[in-house]
This record gives sequence, structure tokens and C-alpha cells, in this order.
Amino acid sequence: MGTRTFANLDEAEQFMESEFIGTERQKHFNLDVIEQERKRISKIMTDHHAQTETRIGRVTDFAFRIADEGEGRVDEVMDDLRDGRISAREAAKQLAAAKRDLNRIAKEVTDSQTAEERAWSEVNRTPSEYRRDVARRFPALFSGGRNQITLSTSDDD
Amino acid sequence: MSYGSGSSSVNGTVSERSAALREQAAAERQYAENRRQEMAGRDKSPTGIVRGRYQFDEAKGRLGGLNRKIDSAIDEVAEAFKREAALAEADKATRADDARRAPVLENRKAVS
Repeated sequence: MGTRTFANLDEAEQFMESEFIGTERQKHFNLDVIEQERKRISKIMTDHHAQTETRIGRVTDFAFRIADEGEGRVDEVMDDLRDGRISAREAAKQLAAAKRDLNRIAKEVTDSQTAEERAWSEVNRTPSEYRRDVARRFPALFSGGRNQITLSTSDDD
Repeated sequence: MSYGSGSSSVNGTVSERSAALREQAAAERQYAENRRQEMAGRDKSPTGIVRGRYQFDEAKGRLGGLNRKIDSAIDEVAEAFKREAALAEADKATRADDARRAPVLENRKAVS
């Protein structure tokens, strides 16, 4: 009895479909190994996407709050200016600060949109494709035989 | 106890309760249908992840509105700057005029 290791799910599946020689018990064991790995990767993908959703939700919520509060703040500054409570210089200073905040959050919204598109393209794949992408981006995770899929066979090797 | 009278002392008449139940069932069906339609329009990954709907455009629109408001306020502040400068100029001219007519007013240590 031996084992075979595979770098990815589709290779392991291919092996089970066309090359596997072993007992029924080994076959069940191997299919369960593949299924568990598929579930594990699917969960990682779901968590990955959920984290992005949370981060994006925070940015858009913040943008709406900045827009609401910013409008009120501009009104206050202009009222203070018209009523002579602040000088034009002070009003300009406060408006410039508001504009800086606005530009910062506007950039964050744009960046989030890009991040969402990237995150979606990363998870809009099969678990096997996702696993392969991760291996390409983070080879250290899979180096030295780590994170391989090990199946049982009746081979001697 | 009569069941044929069509009334209940607990919570309205039987027909009222039936109507409320029908209304609730209709609302639940409507909710399910709305939810189905909402989900139907969304992208779904091979593993069943549903792509979220984000309010990027709405957020950008609101921030754009604020940007226009700030720009308009800045224009108004620029006008205020001009007014303040004109007033300061007028004040300076008045003081210069006073100084020319009565130099002693500008020099408090002067002995008249």
C-alpha cells in the first residue's frame, strides 16, 4: 500500500477517475479526502469574500456619513461667516479641511470598487482554481510538500 | 362555547383572524418573491458565493454633491475675502486721511 500526493484538487480527481487502483475502502477514503479539501477551500473562499464585503460596507457607510455630516458642516461654516463669527480666512481653512476629508474618502470609495472587482474575480472560481491561484501567489504555503493532497493507493511506491 | 357564531372573545372574530393570517401569508410570499428576484439578478460563484450589491455609485453621487457644495461655499468665501479686503483698504484710507489732517492723533507721545 502506498500514497500519492497531488498539488491540486483537479489532479487528485483526475487520478481517482482514471488511474486509481485500490480497494473500495481506499476509494471512499480518497473521495472523502478530496471532498473535505474542497469544503475547506470553499470555506476559505467564503471567508475571504465576507471579509472584503465587510471592509467595503464600512467604506461606503463612512462615505455616506461624511456626505451627511459634511453638508451640515459646510452650512455651519457659512452661517458663521455670514454672521461675522469667523473671518473669511477661518472659513477658507475649515472648508479646505472638509475638502481634504472628502477627497480622501472619495479615493477610498474608488479603491474599494477596484478591490471588490478583484476580490470577486478571485472567488468566482472553482476551489481547484482558487487553490492554484493561491499557490501561484504564495508558493511558500505549498513548498516542501506542504498542503498537498495525499491519497491512498495500492501501489507499492 | 359556540364555534358557529364567527366571533372570538380572545382576538377579534374568526373572519378577522383569517384575514390577518391571509394578509401575513401574502406578505411572506411577497417577501420571498422580492428576495428571489433580488438574488436572481446577482452573480453567483461556482461555490455558491453571491456577489454583494454595493452602493458605490450612490456614495460617489453623495460625495459629488458635497464637493459641489464646498466649491460653491469656497466661491462665497472668495467674495467675502474681497469684501474684507475692500473694508480694510477703506479703513486704512480713513486712518491715513485722519493722520494727514491731525498727525497728533497718530502719535500718542506727541506734545501738543
